[in-house]
Amino acid sequence: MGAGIVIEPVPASQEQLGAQDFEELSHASVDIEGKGTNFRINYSSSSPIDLYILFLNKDGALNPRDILYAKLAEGNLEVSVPVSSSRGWSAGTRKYKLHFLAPKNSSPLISSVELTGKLSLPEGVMQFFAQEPYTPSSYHRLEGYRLYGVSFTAILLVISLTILFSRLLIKNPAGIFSALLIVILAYNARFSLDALRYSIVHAHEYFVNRTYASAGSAYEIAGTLKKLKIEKISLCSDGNTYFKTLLNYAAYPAKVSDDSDFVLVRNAFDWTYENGILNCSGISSAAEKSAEFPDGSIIFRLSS
Amino acid sequence: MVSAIPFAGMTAILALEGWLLLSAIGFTKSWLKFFLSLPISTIPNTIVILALTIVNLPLAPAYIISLHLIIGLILTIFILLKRPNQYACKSTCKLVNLQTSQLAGRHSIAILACSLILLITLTYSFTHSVLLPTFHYDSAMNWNMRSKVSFIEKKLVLSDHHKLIAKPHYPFLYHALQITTQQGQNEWNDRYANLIHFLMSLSSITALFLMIKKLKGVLHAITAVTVITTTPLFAMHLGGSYADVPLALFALLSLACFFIFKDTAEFKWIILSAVFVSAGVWTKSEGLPFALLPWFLIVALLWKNHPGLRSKINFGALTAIILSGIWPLTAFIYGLSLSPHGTKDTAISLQNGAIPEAMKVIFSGGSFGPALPIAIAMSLIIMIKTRRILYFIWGFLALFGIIFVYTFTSNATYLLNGQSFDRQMILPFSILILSLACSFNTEKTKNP
Repeated sequence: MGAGIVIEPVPASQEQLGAQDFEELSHASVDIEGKGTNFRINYSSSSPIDLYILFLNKDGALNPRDILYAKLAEGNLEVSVPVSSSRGWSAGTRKYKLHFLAPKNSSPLISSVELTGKLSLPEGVMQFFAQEPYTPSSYHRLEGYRLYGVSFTAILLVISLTILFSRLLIKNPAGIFSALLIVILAYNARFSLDALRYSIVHAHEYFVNRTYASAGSAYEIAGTLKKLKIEKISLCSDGNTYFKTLLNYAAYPAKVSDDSDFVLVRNAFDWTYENGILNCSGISSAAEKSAEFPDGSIIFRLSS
Repeated sequence: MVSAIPFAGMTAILALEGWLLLSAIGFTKSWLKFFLSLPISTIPNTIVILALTIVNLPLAPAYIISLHLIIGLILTIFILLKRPNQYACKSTCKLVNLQTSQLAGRHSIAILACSLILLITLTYSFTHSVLLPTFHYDSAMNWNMRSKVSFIEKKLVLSDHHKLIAKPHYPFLYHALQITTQQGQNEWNDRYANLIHFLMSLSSITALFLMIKKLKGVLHAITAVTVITTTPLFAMHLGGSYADVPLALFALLSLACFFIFKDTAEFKWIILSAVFVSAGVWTKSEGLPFALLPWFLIVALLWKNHPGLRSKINFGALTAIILSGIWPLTAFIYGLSLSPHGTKDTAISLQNGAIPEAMKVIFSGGSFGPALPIAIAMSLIIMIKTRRILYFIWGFLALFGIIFVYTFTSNATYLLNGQSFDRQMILPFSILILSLACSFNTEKTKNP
């Protein structure tokens, strides 16, 4: 048995987790509550295991912005998955849900999952550089940054209050204002780094890969609907309303409607296209591919 | 690229109309006038779209351009009839103008740091408004969607439309601007829809900078503008396609004009302040309770304390009443709700879990970082210490008003699920920062 293997998780989206077909996979879930910075996992599997780590709120609700993904290699192993550098981690006791997903024929066995470890200096600092995610809900609320598992806003606020109270001692209002201004601009500068990252990543993605974050290829799909003179199209997807709403806007006056001879398959569960037959969420019909898109979406034209 | 010509043409018509309107109010040629032209043109443009809607004429280029030309002609005749020197700027020149030599050393470093963060925010804003298409949810089911449907059908959407538009009862300045600048296009152009609001934001922010500079000097101006625009949620919204930033910018322009009026007693500033607060009313439902009502309160306080300004204030208030009042009248005629979420907003009781969530957003959230709690604390301290209630009353009324709505009405849902509370705090946050910038005593840095 190997020991001491560290697997760094990466941020994942709820869409990515939602696209997993739990019925077609060997699936195990475990809820863990406690303090710690690493998950120590003992397992054996003949195929790699996809691990999703969800940070839960006190009421058990999931924060969709804080999902981590790690790929566990096949074998009989003990691995450590550090989570304290991620945005969702906070000091003290907290709840997690872990999903293990592997191919059905691989017979994975999870022997133990343990939350261990104490926060190190580099891990605490690294958490500050975890990026603010850009999601359809980012316009509503931003989660902010953490340092050593504590809200960076709260840390700066304590510093600011200290500065304010120190006014009584140093009697220098201009100095106080300058110090508070530096505190505010330090936070804004940190966010501007993420704003710059969004600009570069999104422009590159849109102009090179022809996709755009959660919007995927919505606008290219809308352009194709117009080109093919398709006025209505039904959508077979994971049920997330965001993409449907965006496509409705991008494609208008074409509409997303169940009453159509065309089907757009995007992030759908349990769908197949074999021997010219499309099966997708209640649709079972002869069909032919009309168009494919960079985000994996496909338009089918139903034959009957 | 051919499609850029009608867009540029329509934008130029609006900017020219704004320029004429400013000339009629009494502004002489300046950069400030140039940057105020597009923001102020949104009011006559909204009235044009309203007029066509009332008389049931299509929102087509011939009608829209004709009405703008008529307005332009009337303004030109009005300007020609008045002697130019009647409006000449006199008192404004008395305002503080810092010499560049005072901006050496630490100030230069501060300006450089602010400029760098502003540049990054501008890059983000340009990329997401102009290069990339509309991305966010509410825009696709309300803001840009309502404009798109109205443009395609040549008729302003004022009721439920195939369940595609969430808020057809909202005021429509945002939509009117997009609809007008799309005229001449064969089909809806998403980029131009966001580009016009990018240009308006850029103009408004630059005008705000120039006005604060006029009042307090360049250092105050750049720090205030940087703090407001680079604070995370504001910066994020500069990516376009929501109306929270346009509302905040109109309110900021209105308050800045008010402060200049207070210092100079020049008639044109109170009129301009009234026009911009009215633009806020026409932008979002929140403009009525959180922009217009506080504006009337500060104007009333000034009226009470400065008898010599009363006739000018009366005229400014009348302007605001007329321009803003058309919206509720329109809403009444068309049976539209003035409240964002209908009558359920009016039932009042403390909502479970709402106050802790609001405190969490304000004091430890990421939407504003430390800027919002520091702004609240500093404003309270300065207001109490200097008794400058007039400077802070708008910010605090909007702040506590929004907190009340989201903790004592069913709107708490949108606080708890993180949907709109943070966005609405953009308005009081921005106002408090402007108030702080304009209330600081600059005597020590004035020229000897």
